[in-house]
Order: sequence, then C-alpha cells, then structure tokens
Amino acid sequence: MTTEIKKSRLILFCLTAAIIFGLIVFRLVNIQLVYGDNYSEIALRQTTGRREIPAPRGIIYDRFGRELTMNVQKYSLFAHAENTGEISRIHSYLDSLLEKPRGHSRRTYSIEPKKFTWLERRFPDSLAKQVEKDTVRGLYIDPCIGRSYPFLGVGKQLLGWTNIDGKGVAGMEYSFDTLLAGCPGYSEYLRDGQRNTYRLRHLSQIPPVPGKSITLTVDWNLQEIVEDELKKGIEKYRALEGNALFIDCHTGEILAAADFVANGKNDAVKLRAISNRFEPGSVFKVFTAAALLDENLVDLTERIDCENGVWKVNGRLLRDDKKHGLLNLREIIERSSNIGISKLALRLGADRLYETARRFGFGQRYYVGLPGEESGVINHPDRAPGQKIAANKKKKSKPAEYNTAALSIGHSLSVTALQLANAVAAIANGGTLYRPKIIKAITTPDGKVLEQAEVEKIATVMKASSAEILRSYMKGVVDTGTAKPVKSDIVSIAGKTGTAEVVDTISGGYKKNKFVASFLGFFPYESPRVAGVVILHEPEPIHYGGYTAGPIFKQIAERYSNTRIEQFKPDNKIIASPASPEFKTIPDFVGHEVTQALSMARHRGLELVMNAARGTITWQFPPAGRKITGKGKVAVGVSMNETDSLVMADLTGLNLRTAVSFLDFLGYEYEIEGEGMVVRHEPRPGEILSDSTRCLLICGKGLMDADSAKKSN
Amino acid sequence: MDKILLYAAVFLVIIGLVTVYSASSLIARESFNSQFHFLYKQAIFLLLGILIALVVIRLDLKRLAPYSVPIVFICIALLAAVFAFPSRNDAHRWINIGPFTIQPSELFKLAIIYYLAFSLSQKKRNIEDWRQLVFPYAPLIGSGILLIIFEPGLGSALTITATVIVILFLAGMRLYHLALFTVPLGAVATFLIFIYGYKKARVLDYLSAIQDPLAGSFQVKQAILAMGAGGLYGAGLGNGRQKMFFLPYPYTDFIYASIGEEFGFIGLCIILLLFAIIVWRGIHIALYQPDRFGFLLAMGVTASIMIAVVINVGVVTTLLPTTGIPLPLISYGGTALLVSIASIAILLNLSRRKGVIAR
Repeated sequence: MTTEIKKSRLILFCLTAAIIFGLIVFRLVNIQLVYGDNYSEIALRQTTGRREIPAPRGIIYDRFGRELTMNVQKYSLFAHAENTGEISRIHSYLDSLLEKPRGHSRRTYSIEPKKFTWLERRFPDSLAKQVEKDTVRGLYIDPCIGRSYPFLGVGKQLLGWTNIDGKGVAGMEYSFDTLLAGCPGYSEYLRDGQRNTYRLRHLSQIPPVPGKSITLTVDWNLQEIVEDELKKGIEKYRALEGNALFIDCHTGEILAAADFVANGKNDAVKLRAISNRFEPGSVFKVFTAAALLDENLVDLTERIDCENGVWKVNGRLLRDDKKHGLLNLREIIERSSNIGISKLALRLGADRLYETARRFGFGQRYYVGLPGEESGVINHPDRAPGQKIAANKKKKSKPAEYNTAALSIGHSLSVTALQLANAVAAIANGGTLYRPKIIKAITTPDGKVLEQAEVEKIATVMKASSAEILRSYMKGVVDTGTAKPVKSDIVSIAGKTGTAEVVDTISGGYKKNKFVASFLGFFPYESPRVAGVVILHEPEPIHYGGYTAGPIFKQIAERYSNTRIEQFKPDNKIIASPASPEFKTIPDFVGHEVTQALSMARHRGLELVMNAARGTITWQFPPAGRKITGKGKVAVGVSMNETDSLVMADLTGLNLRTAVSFLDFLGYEYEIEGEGMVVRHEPRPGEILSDSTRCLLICGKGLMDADSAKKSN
Repeated sequence: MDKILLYAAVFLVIIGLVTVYSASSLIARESFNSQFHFLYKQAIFLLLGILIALVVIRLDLKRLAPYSVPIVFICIALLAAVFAFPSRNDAHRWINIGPFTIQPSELFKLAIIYYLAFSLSQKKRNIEDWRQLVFPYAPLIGSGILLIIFEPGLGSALTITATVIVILFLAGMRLYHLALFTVPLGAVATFLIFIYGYKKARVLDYLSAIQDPLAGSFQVKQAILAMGAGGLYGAGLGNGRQKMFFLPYPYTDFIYASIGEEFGFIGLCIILLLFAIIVWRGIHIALYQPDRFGFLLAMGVTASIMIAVVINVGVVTTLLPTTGIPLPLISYGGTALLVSIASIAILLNLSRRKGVIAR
C-alpha cells in the first residue's frame, strides 16, 4: 500500500503543515513581541478610565477662627445611555423613583443616545444612594463637593460663591480660587465593553491635594451687625443702596465690609464697598482740615467770614446749606460750612490740597485682594478736566481757585468706602496710614500657617498733635454739630457727615434732589479702635448724612461695643485673641474621664455632647485650641464597652460640622436637611440606637431656630 | 495506544476547560447570573466526550463500514433540519434539544472523513478515474457543504472542503483532476466575492488587516489587542481584560486571543506545539497502518484537526478573513468538543491496531 505517489504527497502535506505553523508563529512574534507594547497600550486605554477625586476646598475663617464656609458632599445625576431601550428604562425608573406620574421624566429630561447629559446637578442624598444601589444602565451618580455657608447670606458679597462645578466665581472664592481649590486627585478604574466600571484597589491612585484655608481679618460678629443695621437703615430711610466698611485703626485690618441693595437686588458680584465710586462731599472736609492743621495755616481761634451762605469764586457761586456768619475752624467742621473750608483751602493752594488727598490714599488702589477694587479719580485742581478750555476762554480769571474750593469740600473727585475708612483710620490713630488688609493668614487644612499678613505702614500722613485736634472737632460734630442724632450714651463716637449730590453719569452734571448721605467716623473717641464709613445712596425724604447714615453708624458702634470692645485690641497674632466671655478656647478633653471633662467644661462655660456617661474620652470636635462662640457645645467621643447600648445624644444647637463629625466618629449613617445648625434630629435625644440606625439631621439658620424648634416640640 | 498523543490531547482539554472558565465567567455572570454557567456545560460535554472516547477506542472501526452511507444521509438530513430551528446570531447552525444544542456540521465532517476513508480504500474503486470520483462523492459531499454554506457556516464548509481535498490528494487522485475540481471552485468563489459582492467588505477588511492588523474588523482588532496586551508572558490566568465585553466570543471562536492575553506568546506557542504533536502522532499512526482504510482515516482525522486549528488561529491572527469556527479540544461548544475528542479517540483506536505500536 505504500506507493511512491503517496509518500511524496505525504511529505508535501507535512511540509505544508510545517510552513503554515511557522507562518503562524511568525505572525504571533509580530503581534505579541514586536508590536506588543503598542497594542498593550491601546488595550489599556480602552479597558481603564480615570476618575477625578475632587480636592476638598479650603475653608475661609474669620479673624477668630469661625468657619465661614463648609464643604458638603453633594450628588449630581447624569445619563449616558447607549440606545433608546436604555433611555426608556431610565425614564420609567425615574418616574417611579421620584414618585411622579408616567411620562414626567420624559417631559422633564431630554436624554439622547450616546450623549452625556446632566439631569440634576443637586440631587438629594437619599435618592442618589438609591440610584447607586439600583444600578440602572445609563444612569449614574457623580459625587462632588459642594460649598455651604453656615452664616447663610452674611458677607455674601465678601465671601462670594462657587458655581455648580465648585469653581469660585465671586468674592474671595473667586479671587483666591487657585489657593482654595487645591488640586484634584485621580483614581483609575477598570471598565468593560459595556461601560460597566470596576474599581480595583491596586490601580494607581493619586490623592487630591486639599486647598489652602484662608483666615480673614473680618470679625464676623461685626459683619453680621453691620449687615443687619444696613438693611434696617435702608428700609427706614428708603435708600436705594447702602455700603459700609469698618477698619481696625491700628492695623488697617478690614473688620467688616458690607453692601445692601434695596428691592432684593442684593446679589452683586462685586463688593460695592470697594468697587463703588462716588463723590464724597462734606466728609472730605476733614482731610482738608487735616492739611490746614498740619501746615499751621490756620489760627484755631481765627474766625472766617462765611458770607451768609453765598460766596462767589471765579465767577461761580458757592453756597452753604444754612446761613453762617463768622466761624472758627472747629465750627466750620461741626456745621460743615462749604464757604468756610473753601476760603481756608485757598490758603493751602491746589498743590498742597491735592498732595494731601493723595497722601491719605485717595485715587489709588490698595489691592486688598477682592475682585473689582476701584481706585477712584482725583485730579489736580489746576489740571482738572474742562480746566484748559475754561482757561482759554477767560484768560485773566483763575478758575483753579474754584476747583480747589470744590475739591476741599469733596466735590470733583470720586472715592470708595474703603479709601474713606482707611483715611479716617489714620486720623483716628494719630496720623499713620496702614495698608488695608482682608487676609490675616493662609493656612494648611491642618492649621499650619503658611503665610501671615504683616501690619504694613504706608506713611505718616499727619502730625499726631494735629490729628488730636481734628479728632476733637469730629467729636464736636457729633456732640453739637450736624450729627447730633449720632451721639450715644454707650460709646463715644466722633465723625463727619456728608451729603453730596448724586453725579449723573450720563449728563455729567448732578441729579436733582438725589443725594449720597454718609457718615465717616471712629469709636471710641478716647482711644480709637474702629474707624468706618456708612454710605446711603439716595435716601428719601431725609437726605442729611447726620440723620440717616449717622444713626446707622451709631447703631453699629453701640451694638459692637456692647459685645466686645475691650477685646478688640490691636494684635497681629493669627486667630489668637485674649479669652473673653464670648470666645471660649476649647481645652483638650481627650484622655480625661467623663466626670473630669465635665468639670473642665463647666469651668469654661462649655457644654459637652457625648455618647456615654462613663468612660474615657478618645475623641473631640472641634479640636483643642479652637475658639467657639455662642453656647459653646463640644462633641466628645467616649470609649465604650461592647455591651453598652448607645443612647442618642442631644445634638441640637451643634453646628452641622460638629454634629456630622460626631456621627462619623460613632459610625452612623445620616442624612441632612437644610444648612446651618442642627435644629432637630431623628432619633430624638435619649432614644437607644442600634447598629443600623440612620440619623436624620434637620438644620436651620441658627440657635434661634433651634430654640423655637425645641419649644414647638 | 499512543501515549504521547493521549497526553497532548488531555493537556489541551484541560487548558480548554480552564480558559473557557476564565474567558466566560464574566459574561456568564452577566447573562446567566452564574459565573460557572459555561464551565458546567463544558464539563458535562467533556464527561460525555470521555464516555464516547472510551467506546470509540475499543470499537472495531472497520465493522462500522456498512453504516457509513446511512450516517452521511442522516447528517445531511440534520443539516437540512437546522433551518427549522430559530437562528442564533443570524445563523442556522444548531438543533436545540432541551438545554443543549447540537451542531450537525461537526457531525457531518466526521461522517464524511470516515465515509471517504472507507469508500476510497475499497478494491473496486479506481481513484484515477474521474467519473468514479464525481459519483457518488460530488452529490453526497457537495449537498452537505452547500447546506452548510447556506446556514451560513463558511468556516465549517471551508474546513470540510479542505479536509476532503487533503484526503483525495493523499488517496492518490490525479493532480489535474484535482485542479479541474478546485480551480472552478476558486473561480466561483472569487466571482461571488468580488463581482456579486458576497462578504466583499469582510474580505477587504481582511486584505487591509494583513498589512495592519488593527485596520480589520472590530472583532479582529480586539483579538489583536488582546494578544498584544499579553506580550511574552501574558497577564496571568484570570487577569485578561479584553474578555470584558471587548473581545467578542472570548470563550468560543476567539478563545485563542483570550489565551494569548492571559498566557502570552509562550502560552500560545505551547498550544501550537501540542497541536503539532497531535499532527505528528497522527501522521505517525497513519504511516504504520496495516491497510489503506486506516491510513486514510488517520490522515483525514489529523488533517481535519489541523485545518480547524489553522483556520481558527489564522482568523484570530488576521492571516485569514474572519469566519467563525471553534478551536478543537479547547473552545466552548458541545458538538465541537465531542467531535474533536472522538477524532482523537479514532486516532488512539488506530494506534492500537496490530503493528502500529510496535514500530
């Protein structure tokens, strides 16, 4: 049977087989060894994905370490469906999830195949968890860090806010966004060909770098008072808008900066106290007077003829509000005579008046670090706009004299509230102009100070002796002059009123019967601490600064003094402030027995919230060294035996952050409704908790709400 | 009995079982809620295959000869019957019996090999007379292959055609007869593809994929990525990612790529080597057969295994256009596994014949 043909054919078969196998091996070498790395990379790209881990945003604190911003976990809902089948399943799922009638979801959300669509950017936590559990294909949850403001609207224009993507778009949040934002981390995950993802532990993870925290110079207590009074004042005096700014006379630290716009339009992106330019009017006279005193150009007893209310200079009329006869400088300031101060200003001359104004900081930006800061405009009286034309027309006249007179009474220049407050602070502290600051320090999330603002002296702008005289004049304004309603029994206030006409930006002239009422001052008179300005735009029908802005200033000064004037001493130390009845430094409770801790707490006027009545404390929040105000509740964790049953502590009155930290420590899940402080919670205090208990925290604006909620329960 | 052949086959079957589980577990969990779904079914077929092998090894193969023609007819009937069953992936290749399915084209392949070996070894048959070849082979084999083409199951049709050609070639068919038979076939195929446009896109994909493997169809591209990701040593058992809904049919037609990702170049070469051993032992067994029937049967079975391996691996490595056939002894698939085990069993049976083992 073994014929010749067959054998040669068999050999041919074997050869063919060998060649084919060889070819295959050659191909494998090519695919796996030569181009293996290439293909491997492409395969890796399609099988892995990267997910951003958001970095916790830095916290903004006030000068006493109060948290002005908080980070909270929020969820967004998005769809990325493959086909119409998935889309209709998503719609029917959402209808049942949201308990809406059929078709509601289809009408509300437009989902297209293979397209990424945000459905809800702020999705309730409980629903988000449900969606995550149910895993509907094409419907996903994206956790992100949201920003919450425990003081709600207070200081909104100052702090600003973040957009839906967590990026700062206004205020401090905007100007310090890169600092606050930190750097997001990444985790890699596996995905399959059907867009399912698998998180694997060994895949590389780059942890996020948390943002830096910022400590402001602002005292949120004062900020709250200022905003409250400004709001009340605007309603009372029917003004369009009000700005106020208060500064520490001895350091230039901004203590409060607030705006209020009537008719609910109070959502300006810029802080108007530093971005609004206006004509200051009579409040500017104090700086003219400062120059006169410093240059010794006036005898304090010298009486100036105030021309019975009308005086012609360069052929133009200058008027006083009331007819005055002979007045000395003190009286000119107290009664705010335009003619009196103008006559004296002509002695100074254009150059010296202009230089003085520049020296006090007008016409220049301080760059405090908030968006939209304005420089204002101040022109040398000889070089004022329109001056040249006038000079050419009437060659012999000296129109500069009129311009000098106008500048001396606060006309033909524009300033900001910040410039006024900082300039008057220099008068209050005896002549030193400081650079205004809003940032006290920049710290790491765990409290390490990275950068600390130094007190920065710009210049000595007047002699201490002249400043003292001028202060006494300003006291006189309140005691006997144009600002009598500002006189207070509680705190001695000194200042100067202003009632300027509103500049019509369209015609360039003045609006009729529209005024800017202002009060520029400091308190307490004996040893000045706080300087500030309150400005009301277009109050009606009363428009005098002393009767509108002045009383607001007074209210603010009184309320602030009532709380803590003696505490308010110049200091450069970050967050550190001498202990006071209002500010309690939290001691370190960790390691102490509960009974011991209770007596420590009682000694300091603090209240403890704890999970057991016996045992050793192993945890506390806020941490030792922080300062708290109000009722001073501190949450402490007590180590327990396994057999002890856990009783729900009374969390009401705790700020949300503390309550959440406490529940995290105990290992319970929770849901949060609202923002601010815990007003009510489930389970109620005293109820026994099981391992699976879910807590519900209902939060409100503050302790007032908590108290009322307690009563209503 | 040929121990080397046995060990090579057992080794391949074990590799098959493990890799079928690795490649299918995720899809099984997704579709059947049990990651062992395909593993269990494959194991059941393997047990059945072992039983069949035990029987086949002891059988006197020559005594089955009278049944060979009826068996071929039954297979043709089954091939016709598939069109009565619902299609899967747009193809009528299976007959459903309860939870299991059988694939008649695989049975037909084995039946034809046996029939040809028996028929061609008969004394009255003159292999050099073309009329004797046209009848009865042309209608008998042709009708079966046509039915398979209409399923459509081009891969199976190609395997069977190639196997038949190898058997006829080795049986001593005159070369110009072979040319008369194959050249028109090739011409018709070329006409169908390039003029009529049948599967033209797939062939064009293939032509570009020979140059750049990633330029081919999605499935082939994923297979190349899988093997490329495996590199020299592979990602390790169970660590493949391409099977996660990227690589299509990772546990059947594309299991070779799936193995390539987890066991690398070395793993793939070992598999090729084991198949080469099977081919070598098959030829060895054929050479020492005492009769023409044994020689043709051994060579037919060996050729069918080799051709299936070459087509499967050729497709996965883009050396051939995409067509779906299982990798013998390894791929998931009941009938294919049974037939490939039976093929090995036939070789083992033949190795037990007098005079084979001694040499």
